[in-house]
Amino acid sequence: MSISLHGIGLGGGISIGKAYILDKHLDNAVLHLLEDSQVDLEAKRFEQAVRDTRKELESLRGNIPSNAPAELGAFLSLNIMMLGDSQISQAPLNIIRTEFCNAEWAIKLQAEKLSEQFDTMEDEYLKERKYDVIQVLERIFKNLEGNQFDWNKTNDFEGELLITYDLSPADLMHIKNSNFLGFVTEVGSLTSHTAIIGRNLEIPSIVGVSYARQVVRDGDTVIVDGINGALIIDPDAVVLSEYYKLQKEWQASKLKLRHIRQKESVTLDDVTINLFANIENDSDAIEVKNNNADGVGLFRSEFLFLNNDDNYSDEEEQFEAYSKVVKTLKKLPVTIRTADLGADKNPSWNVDGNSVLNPALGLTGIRLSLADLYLFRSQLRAILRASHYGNIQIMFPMISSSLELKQAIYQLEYVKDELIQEGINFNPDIKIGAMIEVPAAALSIKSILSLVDFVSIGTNDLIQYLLAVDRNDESVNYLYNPIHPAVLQLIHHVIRSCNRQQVPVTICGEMAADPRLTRLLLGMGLRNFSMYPSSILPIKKIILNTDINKNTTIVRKILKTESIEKVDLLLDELNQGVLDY
Amino acid sequence: MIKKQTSVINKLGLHARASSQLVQLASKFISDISIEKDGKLANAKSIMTIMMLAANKGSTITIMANGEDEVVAIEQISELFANKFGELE
Repeated sequence: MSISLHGIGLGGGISIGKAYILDKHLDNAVLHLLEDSQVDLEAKRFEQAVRDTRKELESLRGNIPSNAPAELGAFLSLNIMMLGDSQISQAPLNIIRTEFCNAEWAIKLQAEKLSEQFDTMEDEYLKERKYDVIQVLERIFKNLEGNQFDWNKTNDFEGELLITYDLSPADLMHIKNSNFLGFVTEVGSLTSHTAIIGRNLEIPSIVGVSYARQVVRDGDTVIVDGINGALIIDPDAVVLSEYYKLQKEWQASKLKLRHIRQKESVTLDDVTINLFANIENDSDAIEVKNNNADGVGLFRSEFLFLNNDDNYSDEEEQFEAYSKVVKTLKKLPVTIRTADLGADKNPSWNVDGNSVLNPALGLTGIRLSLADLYLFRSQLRAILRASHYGNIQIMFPMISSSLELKQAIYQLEYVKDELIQEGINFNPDIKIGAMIEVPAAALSIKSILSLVDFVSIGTNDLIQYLLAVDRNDESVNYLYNPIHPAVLQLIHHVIRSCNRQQVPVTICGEMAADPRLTRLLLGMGLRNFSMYPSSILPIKKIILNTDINKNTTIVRKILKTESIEKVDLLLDELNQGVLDY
Repeated sequence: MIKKQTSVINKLGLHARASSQLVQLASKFISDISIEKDGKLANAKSIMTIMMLAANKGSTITIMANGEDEVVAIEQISELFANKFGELE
């Protein structure tokens, strides 16, 4: 029987394949009966996992951070002691031998047996210890050969769909290079970084599918419908053939969009619109060309750092990445945003980053760069050096005041002097820009405009800060709304101020890629959009179908409206006919 | 073999940490040591069986030791119970 679960689709179309569950749960264990001859091997496999678990626990105990609670050491010692107990390390072996079953199943049976015994206890506190015991068994389970996950081996997967609890932005980079057909996570929201990057991968994916790992079993046939956010488990023949049909249609509509690839993006009333791409890696440059973008509006350079597990991305590595992009894109502008780390994008070396109470309001973006001048200057050096080979612009994230911007510019000038003294070539007139994503900067935009050559509005963070909604917090993110009148008015204020001062302004947040908002943003005076490459053609299609002048009245109405519901209705009116494809 | 009856007086009973202290201590002796509660017998050198005994505060238990160091074993183990496993309350 087919079951379907729902979450937030990140697009990428539809894929059909076998489920591969990562972060395997003991509950997911499946029984495999063994031949007599296999029993010894299976027992050895279990014993090896016990040894690996012991090593793991001992290494954890040996590396306890000094600020960890004192209980942690005692707890790990207890775990190690449990691991040595025959109920944990012997009983499953006996089960393997008597039941002729796989180690996973044996661990599951033993966990159930122990759980039952704990459940009969009357003392509530002692009862709870059950979870300590299960955790140790889970750990062995995860250490069984074949259950550990090695990201370096993802190429071995062919035609499988990854189902897991959560994926970090760095994990997604691995997925990109793997042969997985798609992925599903249990947590995540539309605007979490995982979702934003996930969408870029253009593989069918869904986030926020609660309990997926409990419902899906390893090896089940599943359909991941990234367009509608549906995960269908064990589909019957009818459903399956329906989805094969949908899959074909989706691919066909994608092909259709290819036809407008070479067209200039000009509105019906002859206004030229620039469509730029958001990229994360040097290898994305090819997608910029494939979609015929006008350049890179946002190079999220922090991903060069996030992919480095053990150390900083050094100057040379960055220089190579940046130069590769500009060389690939010839004369096209490439806007490199300096590392926007912190908050939900923490490299593993930033140990403090995960422990602060309110990371989005903490040391992130330009603040982190200014606090770590070694990191910041080496990045500026890399960007400047690459500027010699193409049309590079530099942008600072999370600017909250003109003073902060001046501090960043001061560092840029410092590095320029350094390069001059070393006789290294760079573009001395490199254009600089500020990312407008803090409401204070948006409101005092005029003080910023005199210092920069361009600005770019980061709507994701701007909305989060303006509406006081953490977009990663599932309990409140329903309040996150780009069409809140306050959001629209503030964005309009920035666009209008920039246009008056003739400073180019781009939107590089999710709003730029939302087809429902394209006409509105055009009406607000926006002429530069930057988005993930896969959105460029769909947005171009709307631009080709829009007469900005004709929409003036309705756009004005929207900007005067005080309620979200009214904006919603007026948007429907504005978009009549344009979204039906 | 010698036996000694005592009771669990620390607040949380033979919880995980207390159990682990008991097992650590018991493992130092050559003697076979077991704890009996309500007719259930647990090997004092096995953390799991001790935890499974679910001896909460106020339970009466019997410590049993059999071997060459049984006297010291019983003495030190009953002392551990009496000292509430080093807990403050």
